Amino acid sequence: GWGCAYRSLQTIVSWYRFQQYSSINVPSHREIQQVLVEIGDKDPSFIGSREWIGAIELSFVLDKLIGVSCKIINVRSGDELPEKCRELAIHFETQGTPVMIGGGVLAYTLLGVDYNDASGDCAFLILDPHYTGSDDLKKIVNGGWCGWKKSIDSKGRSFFLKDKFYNLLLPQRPNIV
Amino acid sequence: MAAAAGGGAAGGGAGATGAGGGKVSFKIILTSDPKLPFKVFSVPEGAPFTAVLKFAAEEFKVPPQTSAIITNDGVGINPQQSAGNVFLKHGSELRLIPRDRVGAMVASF
Repeated sequence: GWGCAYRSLQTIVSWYRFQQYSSINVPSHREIQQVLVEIGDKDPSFIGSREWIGAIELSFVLDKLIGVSCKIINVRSGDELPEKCRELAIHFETQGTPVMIGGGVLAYTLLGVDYNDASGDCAFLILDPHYTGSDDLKKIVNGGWCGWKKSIDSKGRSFFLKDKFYNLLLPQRPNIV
Repeated sequence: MAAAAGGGAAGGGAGATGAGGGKVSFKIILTSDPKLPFKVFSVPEGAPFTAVLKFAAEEFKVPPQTSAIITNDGVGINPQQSAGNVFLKHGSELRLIPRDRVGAMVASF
């Protein structure tokens, strides 16, 4: 229960590989930690630890390993996240990169949003970085490890926490001539 | 390092670099406060940006270790570079945000 944000980063690096923007290997947790020490963001004692990281650290690692920049959206409360749906929809249309959401104590990987212009209702396509099973798409989808979550479910519960701030990491495609 | 407090409204223009051994100014907004207070910091170009981050966090009374600085457009800034470099690449209007540290189990719905 400490590596979620690292795994979200691995998904993002994997995306850049599949899109042929990079041929680096997907870094291990340790390699991610080494990058953060190398660039001076963390002390050497960080390597081998189970310390949590967040959106900012992910942006540093992506910059160092792949040379891509990231946009960061900071919201003061989980309640504000649905307002960002339109901006996220534009991100998925223009950039298409997976988004990492960090807040409370949880890390999520966001792969898409569904936004109803008329009602303002929105849903998030979440990839759960906690899955540890095999690469079986059926298992992953049927088990809810990758699925749509509404911002407010049928019981009126919010998916995102009102009293926590969230940072969203929106990796950008490299500008290649 | 000089600092001046400011209100919530958008302030004046970009900071100026002096000729030779100059200073750069940053207007840093505290995003975690709904009133969006800002302070202006004037530092030597060669100063490490980590010092700007630390000083800004202290002035705003938030922990420097769990704070980060991003541009107004939301681009993350690695503080391991000089203030002059940051000014050239990103300009002078910046935001101080809290760092998320995450890793626990995702609750399933």
